[in-house]
Amino acid sequence: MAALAAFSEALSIVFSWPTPIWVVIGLTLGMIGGALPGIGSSLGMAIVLPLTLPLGPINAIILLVSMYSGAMYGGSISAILVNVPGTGGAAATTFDGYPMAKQGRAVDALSMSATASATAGFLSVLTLLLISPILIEVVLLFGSPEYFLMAILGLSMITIVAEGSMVKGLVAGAAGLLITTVGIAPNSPELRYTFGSLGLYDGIDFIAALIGMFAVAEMLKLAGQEGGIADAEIDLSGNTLSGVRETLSHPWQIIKSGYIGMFIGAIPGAGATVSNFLAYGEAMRSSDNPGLFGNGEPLGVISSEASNNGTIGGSLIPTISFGIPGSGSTAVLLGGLLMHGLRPGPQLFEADLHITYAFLIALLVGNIFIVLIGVLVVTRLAKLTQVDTHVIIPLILVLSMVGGYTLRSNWVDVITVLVLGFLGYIMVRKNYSIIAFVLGVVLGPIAEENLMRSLQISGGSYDIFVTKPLSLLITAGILVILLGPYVKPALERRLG
Amino acid sequence: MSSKSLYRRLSERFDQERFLLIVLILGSGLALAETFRFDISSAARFPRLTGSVVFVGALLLFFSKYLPGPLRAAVEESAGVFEADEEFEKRQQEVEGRQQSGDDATESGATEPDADRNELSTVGRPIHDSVFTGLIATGYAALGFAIGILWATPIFVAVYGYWFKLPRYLTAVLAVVGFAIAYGFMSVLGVPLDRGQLLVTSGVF
Repeated sequence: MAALAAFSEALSIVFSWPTPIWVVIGLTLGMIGGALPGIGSSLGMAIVLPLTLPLGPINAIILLVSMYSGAMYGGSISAILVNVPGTGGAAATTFDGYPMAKQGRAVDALSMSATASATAGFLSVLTLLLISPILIEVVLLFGSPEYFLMAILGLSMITIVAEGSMVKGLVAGAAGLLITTVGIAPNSPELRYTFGSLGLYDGIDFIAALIGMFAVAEMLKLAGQEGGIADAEIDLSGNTLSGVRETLSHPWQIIKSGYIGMFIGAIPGAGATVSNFLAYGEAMRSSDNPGLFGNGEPLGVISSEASNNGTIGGSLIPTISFGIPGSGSTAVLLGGLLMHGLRPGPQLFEADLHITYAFLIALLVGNIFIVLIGVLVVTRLAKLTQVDTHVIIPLILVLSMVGGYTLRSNWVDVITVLVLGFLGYIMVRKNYSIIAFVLGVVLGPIAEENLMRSLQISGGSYDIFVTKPLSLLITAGILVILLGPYVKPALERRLG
Repeated sequence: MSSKSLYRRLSERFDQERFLLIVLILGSGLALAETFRFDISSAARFPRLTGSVVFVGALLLFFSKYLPGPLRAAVEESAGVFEADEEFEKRQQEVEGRQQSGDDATESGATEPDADRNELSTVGRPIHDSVFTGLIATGYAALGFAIGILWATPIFVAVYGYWFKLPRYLTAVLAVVGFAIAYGFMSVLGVPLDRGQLLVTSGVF
């Protein structure tokens, strides 16, 4: 009954002025960010975060989730038109999207991408809405020990999902957690690592860390690359309606790819970058003519695009339930939730349930806008793929510095943006998981607070993390994840 | 020795990963040592836990070359989840590489190679573009601290445009847009971006 009341309140919020306009603004900004190679959803959302300060929490979160959704579709624009995916989630779209554009079917491919993205996005968010009553029950089983363990589980998952050495992932995640210990300790008046500086009393602002890691690091990387695709020729021929029709004639492919995306999205650290390749591979495997893939096969575009928007619903599950983001974008979204005083977990499913429903409904509505914008306006957005990176970089750096300073009018935040930007640049180049680091920064205060509270409850004993069946299960999960990759080969050898 | 070859020599000797690991080892070591000065012992628990992971992990990575075979493999190897088969992985890496470099545009002759481009800079400057961007971003923050971010913004954009050889009109437009962004933030969020810590300390607006 309470859920129904919250749902109807959410409906009235989403359809009251000015919320719909924030949905459209968010989608448009997201599509622009997604269409610009090198920008993408997490960077775009990170630099917009400080600007959401004057908005209320509901409109701010709706703006951010709409950006996330828009960017997932926007990434396909440059993938199809210039063979450079705007986001990692659109990488597999280039396999068939670009050949289609070369065959004079660019508009077909773009409308296929819009239709597949919107349909799968709608489906995955609708599924999330439908399973939310079950999620509520699960979330309410969790106490402080379980929340602390879930934070560690999330970090562990990222270290095995991310490319490269697992130890690098663990170090990155723990470094993120360590940074959050600067300032006044939770549940005690101890000042840590402030070195007498007033500016450090409130600690390192996680939004500044997100801006540094996503925006500045990315701009430093982008600056060292070619000046972009400014003069690339774009052929915008083809037919919108035939693209839509073709997509809708493959409902099973959309459903399958959308749910692959949703499943992968729910795994912390995996995200659309993984799901679009998996869905593409599955579409190829199940096709009667796998040889057509890579030569302008519409199913290639449909599967990749359906999966990346399907990821959204999945990645929101661990984000809103346990505060564990499934991707960089959801890490920024989590930052937005915390910045506006919304805590993932029971609060979002009890007192703030109407807010949770509001942004899920906004995402559903947003998918309808994606089709409309994708089919009607996308040919104008195509120009964006030709913007020179040297035009983008100074403006993003201005937004980063100004955004960093406006957080608390504290120069420590500007220094954080810069220093973490430099470290982030090296981390990206040397295969250290940025997502693990960011997750550490965002989760740090929650993890420490839950650790302290758990130990207060248990009188300082760590047994509290293994005495209850649920906490024991999560602890076992952490051990399996961390030790599995080392134990499994040895076991396989022994078993022949 | 020319400045270009000096820069090249320095950059060859500078190992970014070693630098990162040294920062992590020193940072976490300092954090761990500091915890013993805390008055309230419970406040030291979390920093000790996380600091230890960073310290030990970074040390293992730093000295990974000298570790015995199995331990070295454990430190350096990937867990291998979601690894595609070889054929598909090649293709995946190719596209991801293209996402970073935009090389298809070059392949199709879309972007003409600059006559004076070299491996350091895409616009023929003597230092790497990323290094310059890092330096100018630091300069922007320092100037912003001194005279106020609002006034430092157009200067930063102008220097950036000059260095990367953007057309003058474009640099001017970008400087105006940058100023408008900073002014917009100042007006909407009420942050004193027009005030410096050394000059213009009482602001203009």
